[in-house]
Amino acid sequence: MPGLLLLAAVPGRAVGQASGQLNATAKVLPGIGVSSTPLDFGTVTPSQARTIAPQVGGRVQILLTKQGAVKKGVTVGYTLPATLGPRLALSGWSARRNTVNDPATATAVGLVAPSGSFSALTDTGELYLWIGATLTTTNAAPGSYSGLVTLTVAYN
Amino acid sequence: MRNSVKVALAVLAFTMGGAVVAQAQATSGSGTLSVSANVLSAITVTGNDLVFGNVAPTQTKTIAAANGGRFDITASPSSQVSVTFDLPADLGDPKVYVDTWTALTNTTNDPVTGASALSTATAAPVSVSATGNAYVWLGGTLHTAGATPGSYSGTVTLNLTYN
Repeated sequence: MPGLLLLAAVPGRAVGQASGQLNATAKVLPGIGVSSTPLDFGTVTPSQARTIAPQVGGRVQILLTKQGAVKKGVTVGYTLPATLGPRLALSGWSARRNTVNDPATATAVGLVAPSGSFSALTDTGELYLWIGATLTTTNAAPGSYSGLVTLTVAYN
Repeated sequence: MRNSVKVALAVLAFTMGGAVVAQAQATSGSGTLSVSANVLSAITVTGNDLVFGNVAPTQTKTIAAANGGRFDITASPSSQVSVTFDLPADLGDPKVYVDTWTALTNTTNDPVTGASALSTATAAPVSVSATGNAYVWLGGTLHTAGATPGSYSGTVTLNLTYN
């Protein structure tokens, strides 16, 4: 009777060599752009308080990628200067924000000195921020003074 | 305006269906907003009297502004100030009164050459010279009507604010 011999082999690992491919891709999105126009108190006397409303104050334009902004929104961080120089105090910071360049229809944003942040969504890929404050001079020396509001923008 | 934009790249990598996908996404940015102001010099003003001199108990006497009292003003160079006058109706006695006031202004101490008329009734602009000076002259017409002999005086106040 012929005998049958069944040989079975189950490899513990692949035998031989093979090659495959995979794709490596990258998509670079546009950077966040921030540009601004100054908050200018104009001319003031050595002892005076002058308030500039945000609607007519400095303007910040933030350009975002739509995808990131719509899906997650952004967080805008800010640092506000306390003074423009000796005896030139800044206070009463206020702001409005909008997704279009229209301060009249903008939404009020509470700013807390000296620094803070707030979140915002935009479906236009743009975010506008208008900033106002009160400058109080107390026997300030004549001259030109300036300071900087620092803004950081990050996707949530 | 100084703007600086810093871009951080976050790289996400994962495998799916044999593919490695890397997405480099700009996730943050920053910028600055300039805040500025120009502080003007304090305004100073000194007065030199308008003197009507001697008058009879009943008389009318006019002193032209060019010969009258003078305010010397210092302010920020090349600025403009708005002036108003607080004028007395009389010099302490209704029988010694002034009913007409006139004024001139100039950026140099010369009430004739280059001077211009200035309203005493409403707020009026006064130009300040490149060296920070301005001048205002004030005249008037004094009337006495049976006034008692003696010395009389009143105070004229010049109010100035930057425009």
